[in-house]
Amino acid sequence: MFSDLWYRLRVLVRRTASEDELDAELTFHFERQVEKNVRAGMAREEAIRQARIAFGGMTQIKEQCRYAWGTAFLDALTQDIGYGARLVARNPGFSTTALLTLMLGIGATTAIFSLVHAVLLRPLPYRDPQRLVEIYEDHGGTGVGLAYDFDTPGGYADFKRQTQIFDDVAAVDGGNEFSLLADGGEASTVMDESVTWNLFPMLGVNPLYGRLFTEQEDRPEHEHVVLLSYRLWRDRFGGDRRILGHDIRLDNRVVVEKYTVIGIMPAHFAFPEKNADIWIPRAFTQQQLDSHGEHYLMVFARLKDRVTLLRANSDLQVLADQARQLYPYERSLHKFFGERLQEAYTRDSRRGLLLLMTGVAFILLIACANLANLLLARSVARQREIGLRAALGASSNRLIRQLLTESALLGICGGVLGIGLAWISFGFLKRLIPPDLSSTISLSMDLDVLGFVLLVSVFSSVLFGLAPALRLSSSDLNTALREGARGSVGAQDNKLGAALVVGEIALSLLLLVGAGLLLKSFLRLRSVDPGFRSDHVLIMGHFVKSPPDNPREFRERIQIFDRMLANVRGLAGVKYAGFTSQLPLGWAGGRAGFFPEGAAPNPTLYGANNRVITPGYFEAMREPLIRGRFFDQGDGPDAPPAVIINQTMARTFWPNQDAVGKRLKFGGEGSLSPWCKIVGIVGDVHQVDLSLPPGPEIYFPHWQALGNYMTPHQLVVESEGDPMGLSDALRHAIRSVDPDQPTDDIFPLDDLIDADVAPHRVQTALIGSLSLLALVIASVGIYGVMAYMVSQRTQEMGVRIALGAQRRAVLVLVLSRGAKIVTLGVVVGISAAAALTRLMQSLLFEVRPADPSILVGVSSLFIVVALVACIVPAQRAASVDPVRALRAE
Amino acid sequence: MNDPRIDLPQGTLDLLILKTVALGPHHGWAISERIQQVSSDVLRVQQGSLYPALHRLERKGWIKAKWGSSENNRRAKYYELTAAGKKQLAAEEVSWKMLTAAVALILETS
Repeated sequence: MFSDLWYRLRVLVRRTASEDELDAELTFHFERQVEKNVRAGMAREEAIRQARIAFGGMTQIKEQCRYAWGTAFLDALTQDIGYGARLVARNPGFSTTALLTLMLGIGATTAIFSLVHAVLLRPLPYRDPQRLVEIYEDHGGTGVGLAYDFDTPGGYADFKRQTQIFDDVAAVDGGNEFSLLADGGEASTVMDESVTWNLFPMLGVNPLYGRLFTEQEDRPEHEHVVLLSYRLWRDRFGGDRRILGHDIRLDNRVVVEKYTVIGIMPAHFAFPEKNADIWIPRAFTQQQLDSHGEHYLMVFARLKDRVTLLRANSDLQVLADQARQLYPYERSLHKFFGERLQEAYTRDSRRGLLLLMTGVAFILLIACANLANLLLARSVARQREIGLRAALGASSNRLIRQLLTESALLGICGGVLGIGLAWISFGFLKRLIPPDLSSTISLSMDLDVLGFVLLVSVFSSVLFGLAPALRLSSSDLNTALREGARGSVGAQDNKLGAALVVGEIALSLLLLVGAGLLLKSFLRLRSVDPGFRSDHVLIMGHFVKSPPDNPREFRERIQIFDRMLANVRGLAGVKYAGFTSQLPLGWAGGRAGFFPEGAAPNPTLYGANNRVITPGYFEAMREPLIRGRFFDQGDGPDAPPAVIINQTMARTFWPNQDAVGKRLKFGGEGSLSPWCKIVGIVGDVHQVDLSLPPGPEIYFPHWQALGNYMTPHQLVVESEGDPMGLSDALRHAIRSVDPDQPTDDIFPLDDLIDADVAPHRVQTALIGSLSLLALVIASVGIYGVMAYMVSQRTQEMGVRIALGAQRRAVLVLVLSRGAKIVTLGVVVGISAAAALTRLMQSLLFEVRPADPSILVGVSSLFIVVALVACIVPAQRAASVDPVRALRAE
Repeated sequence: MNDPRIDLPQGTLDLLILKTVALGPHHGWAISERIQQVSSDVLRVQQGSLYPALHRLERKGWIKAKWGSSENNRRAKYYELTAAGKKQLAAEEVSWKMLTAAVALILETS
């Protein structure tokens, strides 16, 4: 087998030498035959003649030897590529159209595929990533799908005991903001992920420099070691390896402690979230490991070999059933479940990506249909050429091969151009990578993607080349040569062309409907009133120690806040300023169980979000006061407890009553917490996301938040001018009160809204441009088919006009033919859209999949564009000069 | 039909070529002459089949070719048996013998 290949290769490489050798070999034989004949007594002339007769056709023998070399196929291929290249070069108009169409089709497909490949298909850069899972609790109950709730230390300990399904289980207490103190320099906020020591070995990652945690360091009081992210090491420590072994001072909100730097992680490592700066060991006390109360852990596990996720999840279900019975805080637990790490990271983006992939697949099909049409039209011009080749003995297989080679040539050139287009698009597509993966993965033109391009190019070549090739090679020789002379084809070709265009129209309509739905839902989302104004507002992340339980310390704390606020409010250009424990559009802000005075007892507690704020916050955010008042100096630490609630809360718990003046308390009916009086009602804000409705919410004044675990750590400032212009003055104002305060986390509030809608915007923009692309390609297709039809029927039009037909009637004739095709396409497209867009439901916001305004709008747009595409050929038909048309016959 | 020469059945030519070059390197002319002589002119090899067959066998790796000078001092392409060719020849000889024996058996019993 191998020697065979080697032989063929050798022949190919030394082509001329092989030919020469063959010639020499046969000549030698021929001369020996002549000599033999002469020896037998023939005259020289006669000897040569006899030898020739004995020899037969020298050319045929050579051809058969070449066939024996096994290179005939390649010879034919080279020949066909030669023909193809000549044809491409000779018809620049056709070639440009074809290549552009293919470039767009294949380029778009490749770009989106590389994205899908990077995000969904390429394994995460960890050891045996398919076995890595994240374990969640689900307290959401049944019905609305899964809830992804955090785990408890007790749960983690239980999972760790499931050695029949897990090789290893690790926990992360993530997203802690620490302050990295610098002696003399500015403190900065760093994001800490506290992890159990075994996390890194479980993932199979190694540090760039230094070492990982040891098991001994994962014990209370021994955990004073830290791993730095590459980014922090580079930016904060100048990439100097001498930091290894040295101490850094971290303020973890409770105390300032020293941590020894033991390692630097590699550049692209970020786990579990992209903004991780440092990792320190998370040591649990035995008491914590027995506790099932607090839900704040992310738990990751590695499945044992040959244990399926299904099996693991059924074991976890048993565990959850026990936990529900045993622990009071797990009473609402529905189940524990594992999800593959890759799926956990891409959960929110998968549907969008698959939608995009479907979109580009449509574009590719539309492009192929267009090319098939172009080739069909051109095949008329080539009928004589092909007829001639067939008449000269080319077999129909050989002809199909030739035509398909030409298509493949186009396809591969289009593929190469498409790679370029995809490459250019990477800069934009990057934004569609889920945020938590954005530092771990990147878009690249790797071998898989290149292989995909090749596959798509060849596949589409066959797709658009096969119909014309079959049509041409099977056409009857006689008619081909005869009809070719007159340059016309049967009605059959036109039907095929029209069917292709109907398909194109239907597909692009489907895409346009999808894009229209996304656009409408995007606009809906943008027009949602977040409940606050984001312009002219600056946010500064502020580092606050954990709330002290000790009243004396608490008072000191309050004074620091008040002094900071006084400083800030004194700055020129500041209108209002206040602190909050949590900005909107992020995290719900912490659930709190409460009890409204006079309500019926409720075993599962009444729940609401809670936020701790200072005066000035509502004013700076411009949240409207609906009733009552905002907090003021009268709500101090010793004043009667006061709260402000939002409208939803008032409506939910005090329907048809005035909630102002009513009282509520933390905990259940019997709780010992003091009664809090509702002093005001403010407008709703969207706490988590613009697409989620606001829930009930309670605001507490920070003066009275003793014992509340929420701390007001974000400063909100409304400015008169450009908010960012205030940043330096603000930094100074804050640091003059607390010199160790990190002040590097500053951004305009507008960014928050942008971040909320950005993924929708990018997705909508992409699908929108894809569908416009589809519209353009499809209208080129309509134009092509109509123009072709008109050119085929020039004589007929001439005759009609000569016989007295009105030009207007000819116009209508052509237009009506076009209208028929377009109508059919639109009907097919709309029916398909009505059926298929239901799959998009989860991507839409306040828009029904079969939104009639979108369906009607898109169809009208399509009909207008299609008629414009028909008008030019129709006018050309109507302006046929009958004399010329007839003379051309 | 009085011509005593017969055309070679399909596939037999390969066997004859292999057997001939097994005796030592031969060029195409010599192979054709030798087959003709040894078979007392009964078997005659057409050049149109001989050379494609030689090239096919070379591609299969059963024989290999090298250029040398002929008896009358001219450059000629010599073919010789390879190790793989030796095996092939042995196998083909066995199956040929079985075939002819079987055919003979049938012819005799009628």
